[in-house]
Amino acid sequence: MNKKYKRNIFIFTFIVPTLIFYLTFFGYPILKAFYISFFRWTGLSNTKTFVGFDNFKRLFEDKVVWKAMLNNVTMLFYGMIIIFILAMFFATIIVRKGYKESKFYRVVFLFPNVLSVVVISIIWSFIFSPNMGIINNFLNLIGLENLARTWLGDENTVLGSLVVTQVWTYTGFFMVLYMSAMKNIPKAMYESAQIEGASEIRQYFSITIPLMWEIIRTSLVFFVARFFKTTFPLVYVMTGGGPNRSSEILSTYMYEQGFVNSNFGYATTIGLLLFAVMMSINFILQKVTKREVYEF
Amino acid sequence: MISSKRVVSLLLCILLVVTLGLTGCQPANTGENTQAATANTKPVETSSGSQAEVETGKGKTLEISWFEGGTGREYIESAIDKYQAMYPDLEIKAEINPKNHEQLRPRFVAGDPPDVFYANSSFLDYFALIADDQLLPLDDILDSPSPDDESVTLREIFIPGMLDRCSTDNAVYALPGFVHYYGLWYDQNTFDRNGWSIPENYAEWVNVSEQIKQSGNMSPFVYQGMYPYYLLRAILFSSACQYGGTEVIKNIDNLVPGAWQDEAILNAARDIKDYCDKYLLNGTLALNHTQAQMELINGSAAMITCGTFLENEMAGNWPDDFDLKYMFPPVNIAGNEEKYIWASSDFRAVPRDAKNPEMGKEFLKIMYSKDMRRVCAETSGSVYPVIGGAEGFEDLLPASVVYANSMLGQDNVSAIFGNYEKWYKTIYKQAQDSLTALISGKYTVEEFAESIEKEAERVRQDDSIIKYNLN
Repeated sequence: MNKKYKRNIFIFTFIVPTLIFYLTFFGYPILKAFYISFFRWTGLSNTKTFVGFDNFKRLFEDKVVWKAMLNNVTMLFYGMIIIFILAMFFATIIVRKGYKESKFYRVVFLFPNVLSVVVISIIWSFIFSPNMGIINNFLNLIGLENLARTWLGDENTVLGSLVVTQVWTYTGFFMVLYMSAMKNIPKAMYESAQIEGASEIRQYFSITIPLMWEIIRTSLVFFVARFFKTTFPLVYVMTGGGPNRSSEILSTYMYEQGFVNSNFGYATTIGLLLFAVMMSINFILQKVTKREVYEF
Repeated sequence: MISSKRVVSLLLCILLVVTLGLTGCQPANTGENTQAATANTKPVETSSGSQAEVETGKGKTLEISWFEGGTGREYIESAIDKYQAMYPDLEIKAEINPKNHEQLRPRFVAGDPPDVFYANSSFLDYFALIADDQLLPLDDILDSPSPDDESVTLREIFIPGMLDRCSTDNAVYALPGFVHYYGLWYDQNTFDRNGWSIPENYAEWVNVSEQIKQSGNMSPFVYQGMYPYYLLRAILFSSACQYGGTEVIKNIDNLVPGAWQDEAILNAARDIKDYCDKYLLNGTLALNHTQAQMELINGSAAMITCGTFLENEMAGNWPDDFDLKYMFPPVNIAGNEEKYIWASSDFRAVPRDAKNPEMGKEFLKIMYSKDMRRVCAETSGSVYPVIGGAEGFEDLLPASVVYANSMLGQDNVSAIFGNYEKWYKTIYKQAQDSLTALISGKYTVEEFAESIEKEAERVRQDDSIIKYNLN
């Protein structure tokens, strides 16, 4: 009884400070945001005018919000798939083939992750630059001038260009994550499968992926969280939401409503929508990827 | 025996404490003064304290929050030194940094603002502050004698129309600071070398642009594609006023129905669209202001839209043989002698909840004195929108700025400005987006005008948006 009590005190002591911190800096702001969304507020004084559900009504009628949400989901979807495929591919090659230089590759691939998103955005702005940028100049060099585009200035290519930047930034992180997950799988599994006559590809889909599945599920949560956190500086710096709102996302629109148009009430409503979208996506992903956990 | 783990953990804790301590330190804000202060203003009248105390500012504090942008901080530090010399016992606290708007916002919400401030109006909405009754009217200081000549009031030294920028309900809530004039910029040496003439009107502009295009070395024109307001200010509105007079902008500001579909706007839009179709640098729409301006510097484009801050903003990048000159936005009406230049400026104001507002207002006033304007010209290459603002400083200002300023002294040249940019930000944003769509070919000229008019109509119908009027 004494032991159990001591153990509980021990756990309590570690959880409580973090819980207080979490409630103060996360819980309270979310509740306050919910409260503010019922008001019209410039954010420049203490005068708030109660408007009931007007902000929510405006949210549903605002075409820009829906366009922004579509852009968010499109970028998330394509980004996630491409990053996942590339990260798994590189992780598989490096781990399975057992290259001696794998440590070097780990550093090189992870390097973009270390840079700040703003720095990356500026660098890629110049890479995509129609006249000074390396992409168009390279295409001109090899005779493919007709493929050269105004990558960030054309409504058809702007989202794709932003996804490319994200893929470059995050593939390394997920590759390293998957590499360590793969390394944890005992070699004995592969050996016995080989004896049984299973091909490499069969081994990959029947052993590697199922035994990594929990890590993959967790990485999806990471991805969604990172994506929503970092697309704001990416879009803000590289395109400003343009051209003509074709790369507008919920967070940039929220910023515009709050800090430029002084509509903090409406901005927090958009923020709540963003919160709901993130939670829904996470929930759906977790439900869809739920599988029996294999112990090994 | 101390384990290495403990040593590391102890070092991390020390590092954390030291870092926190250092971030709490603020640099001292008293700068070097290049000018001797001239204390020729009357002391501020206050209700408390003896006359001697009032004259030295004893027991009083003046809190200043100032944006540090491309114009640097030397001019404001000089002003602070001058004011300190006027009131030796006054305690002046100044916050000068590029992010002062982030500190100002919570201070306004908490009801504890500084006594005088200047924030970048792109980040702090002055009209929202006025709507929330957070700013003091400045008419009393405007009606007081000007700093250099007591026979004229402060109000009278400003270029006509400049005080309208931050006025409403017949009160002026902010004084305009540095003024920047927009137009076209080019390298005189490049034009001379190639024998290209400076266009006086639209037809000549098209002509010379054709020659530039044929030369094969550079594109005639570029603008800051990511920020279409450069094109709106430097060309579209200048042209539109040429077609229809200043009524065009006034109607837009006053939310008159159909203002955006006025013939003048359509003509101006058509002119710029036709021109850009043929002569705009490839890829312009993706360029931010630095990239677009570098295209001019690198010789990829012959002309660019910009304000008089261009030379200073790109300082250090200009080749030695680059002779930056200002060109009027071209007019498409033969024989029309009237020229319009867009003039924008920042705003400086005094909060209503300021603890020492009278001194805040006086501080604003002294910044318009000639010696302070000299420091501005010398250290930041900028001028104030006062009559003869650049006179006497020609040797201190960049040549391009002096030339642009001298244009405004001509009889047929007027300054224009659109208040809608500050009053109705969603219309401003829509105008920019629609202009991009027009240039990219997504919208026709009619669709361009219609899309903005639609947003203007939405704003008209929305009672929650405060409506302003300028007579």
